[in-house]
Amino acid sequence: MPIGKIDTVMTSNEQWAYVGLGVSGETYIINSEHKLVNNSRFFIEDKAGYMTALKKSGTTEEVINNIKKHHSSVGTHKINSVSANNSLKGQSGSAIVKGYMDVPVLSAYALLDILGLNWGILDEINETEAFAALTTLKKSYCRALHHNHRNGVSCRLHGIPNDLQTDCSPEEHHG
Amino acid sequence: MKISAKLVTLFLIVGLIPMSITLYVAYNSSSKALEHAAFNELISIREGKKSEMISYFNTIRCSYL
Repeated sequence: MPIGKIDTVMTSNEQWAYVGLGVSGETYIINSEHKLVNNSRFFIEDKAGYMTALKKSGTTEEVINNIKKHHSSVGTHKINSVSANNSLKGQSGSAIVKGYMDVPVLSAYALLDILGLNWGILDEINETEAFAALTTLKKSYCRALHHNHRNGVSCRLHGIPNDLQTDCSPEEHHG
Repeated sequence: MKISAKLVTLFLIVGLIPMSITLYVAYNSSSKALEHAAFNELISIREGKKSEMISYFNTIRCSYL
């Protein structure tokens, strides 16, 4: 199986930003054993960070040494995220899940059922990057509400979810 | 309370209530739209790659037959 061509297609010739995947987006295929079929973007762009994340997520020393030895994450790195599991179960969809780099990612997944193979195809982007515009919007919404009140009423009163409470802290509103 | 102060307070309330509602509705729909767009972009990239892989596999299969 010519893995080289798959790698070129799936990593978009390593031009992720050019194809619209920003600084943290990537597409990859996993085989039926959850192992990567093409290289991870993070392995290529940020080896140190990638290795640290693998260790943190409980990858065995053997696998890590194998990745180092072969200078490749193909065929060794096992992805066990919720979206990876779903894709191999034959489901397709998109969700926010914990990615293999140990941060929340927006993940779109599907089954790749070609030539009788039971592979999964996924693409992911860090939640912080994908939702950057959303975060800006939420912040400005909080700010607008604060200006309506002399003493700055907590966003809690306006039904803003808890995960945004930090965004509405008073020190954000100096300007 | 002087009548002018009363009027100012009243006008302020009358202005602020609809403003807050508009703000909330706008915020709600635009945040949903942004979230939707982010997911859609991801799905379209996935489908593009998927069909690229399928056509590639079909090419190699045909060349071996």
